[in-house]
Amino acid sequence: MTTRQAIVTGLGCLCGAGRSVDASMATLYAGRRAPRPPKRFAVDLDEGYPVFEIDSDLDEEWEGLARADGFAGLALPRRVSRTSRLALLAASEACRQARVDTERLRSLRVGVCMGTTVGCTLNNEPFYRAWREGEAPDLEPVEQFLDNNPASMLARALGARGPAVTLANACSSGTDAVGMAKAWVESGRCDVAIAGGSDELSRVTYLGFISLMIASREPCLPFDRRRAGLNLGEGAGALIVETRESASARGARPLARVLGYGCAADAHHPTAPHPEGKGLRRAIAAALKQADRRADQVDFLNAHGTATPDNDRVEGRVAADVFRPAIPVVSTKAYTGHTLGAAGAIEAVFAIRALTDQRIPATAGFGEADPECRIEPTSRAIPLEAKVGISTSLAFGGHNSALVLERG
Amino acid sequence: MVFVSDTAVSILGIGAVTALGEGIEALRAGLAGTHRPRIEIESVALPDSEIRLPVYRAGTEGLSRFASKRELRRLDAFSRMALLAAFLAREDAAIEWPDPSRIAVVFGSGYGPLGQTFAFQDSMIDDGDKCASPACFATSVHNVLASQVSIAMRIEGPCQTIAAFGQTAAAVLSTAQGLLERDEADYVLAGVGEEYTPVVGYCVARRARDREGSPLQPFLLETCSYAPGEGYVVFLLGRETSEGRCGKIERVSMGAWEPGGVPTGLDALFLAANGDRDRAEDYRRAIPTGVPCAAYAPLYGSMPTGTAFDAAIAAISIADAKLYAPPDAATGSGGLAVVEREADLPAGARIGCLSCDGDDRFSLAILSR
Repeated sequence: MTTRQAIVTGLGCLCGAGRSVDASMATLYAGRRAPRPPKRFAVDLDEGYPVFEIDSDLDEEWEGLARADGFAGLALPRRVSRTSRLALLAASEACRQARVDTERLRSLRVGVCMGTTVGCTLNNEPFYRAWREGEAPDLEPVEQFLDNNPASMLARALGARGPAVTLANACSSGTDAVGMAKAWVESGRCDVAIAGGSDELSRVTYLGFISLMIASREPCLPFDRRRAGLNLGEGAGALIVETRESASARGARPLARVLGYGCAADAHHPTAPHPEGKGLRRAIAAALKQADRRADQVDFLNAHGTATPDNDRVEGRVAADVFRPAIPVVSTKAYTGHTLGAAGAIEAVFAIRALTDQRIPATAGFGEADPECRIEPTSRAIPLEAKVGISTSLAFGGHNSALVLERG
Repeated sequence: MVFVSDTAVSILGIGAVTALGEGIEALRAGLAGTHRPRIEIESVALPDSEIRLPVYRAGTEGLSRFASKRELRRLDAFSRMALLAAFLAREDAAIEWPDPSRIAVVFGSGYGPLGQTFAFQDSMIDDGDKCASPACFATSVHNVLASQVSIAMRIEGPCQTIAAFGQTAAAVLSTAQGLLERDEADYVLAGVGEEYTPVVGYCVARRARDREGSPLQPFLLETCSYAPGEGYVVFLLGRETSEGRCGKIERVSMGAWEPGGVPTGLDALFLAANGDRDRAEDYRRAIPTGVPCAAYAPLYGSMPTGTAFDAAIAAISIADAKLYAPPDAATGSGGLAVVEREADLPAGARIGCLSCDGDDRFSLAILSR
């Protein structure tokens, strides 16, 4: 049994709800949301499907990054993708809160573990179209793809000298990245791990989810009887995970502890969850076992809650069976959209803030309970007396992950 | 400051699908020089010329031995490679398949399922935004291979997919070590590989216009002889107490370069050098003087994840107590101590598999008896 504890000392986040953790939490607690059709790309569809897009090129934040205190010498990539921008901006916010600057990062054993979907996929449409048409396109988009693997890019930019691993477990990648960082820190393989997830909105994934008929034409309604699918989003979440000793050595305040992580496969279907949530149950059990906590000691559940009929039905049933009755459940997808590889990390950030704020937001969009889901998520922001929270993710391929987080 | 996973894990079985054929015996035959890789010459049109590019191709005909046509009907080519390698690893290990929740899958690739990524874009271009193919989209996500293997082999434990270019193999192996160390699984299928598509051929040709038709010669470090390959290798790993027929993975290091990153005292160093001249200086800097070196990319092709294939070759070498001469040993050593002829390996031999990945990053997996 390890004696090292994986402590979280810094949080960073950009998403459709806000361009910082504080801004995002303010949006969540206020219950505001404003999905709309994508602006950054055009599509030829008869109907619009709303998304949660960050309404900015992020130029201002990007230019400010290299001038920020403690970030002198930041090695910004020459060719930078939007996914990379999001990742680096979220990581730098987390670093600032954790009081780690680039000089300190270079002096420690620092690993980087990031989840993504778009960020590790060569899906540059203009390049591919030109190649198909025999135009011998320039390789700039390919070079950009090679330069922008999220974990490698972050390690390079921040001067982190440990492992740089990008996880590509589809929609659970961000959760898995935090779990991997926990393992690195507890095993003593790293002093500090920068963990998170990042994904930009892309025309390819937008059309992909529409083709699967799981995107909604309306703002999404997690766990609601009328739910008709998900809204996509974009963003990044980042956490500084380190040992308690490492944090206290520089006076960083522990925000939370990553108590447990578990993941398990459904072994059932490439895109649909197991109807009884077989893998999700095992992932939760594994995370609780690692955390040395019982299910009835969990004070709230941050659900994946995509608002697709299958996901919410399965997740609701599992939650109803596993956790205590009336456990507060929230889905924040109705504020951020589904940010794919970033989702688990963004929601880990939100869950930690719920623990430190002792408050969870309303599940925007939820109005009518669905008896098939067997749970009712929060319908308004509520105060909590919470010590332990759990955050779950379900991914394409039948991959399920869970993180158990403890305050302070 | 190199990340080190030093919990030794046993290699219980290996499945390899490469241009040499299917299974570990095909790889062994290639090492012994009795079998040649399947190399196709592809003509790639560039703006002002046409390049003849050697491409290493892998087949998956043997998959029908393990799965029915019905089970395979929707599997894309890359998933087939991974699934076949996984079945071969299980067959090679010849172990009783335990509780499915105690088996994990950790897979990785540098580029992911390119074939399906482009197939989905084809459907967008050919059929329009309204009719893009859901089947192609669902199989274009990186974790489709791990997912298909978990479904086909009824594996219900942890399931991870890693995409870290040249560091992928080391990341997969160290993640597998961690799962076994923390008792989160009793066995791990750890797999790595790449898929070739004509877009890869175009990119290679475009980046290396002067490589015209020449074979892959990794020891000519300053010469570009990159010849894209494809294939998949899967290791069935267990805790060190298990019966390891193919030796063990002793430690895995990865991260930024630092002096001493490659320990002295290795009996051989297998380089993931693959005809990419941009890595020449990195390899020269990383290799300790006098350590016998080999590079086997001429057997399986150039891939960012070549270290996984080298690790399979290291396991064979350890099992056979023999160091096989790499195919192009005679073409020039680039100043390195290249293994020029077959040699015996001592009992307790340790072989390092080194990958230099640019940006001062490297990885090393050490295998031993």
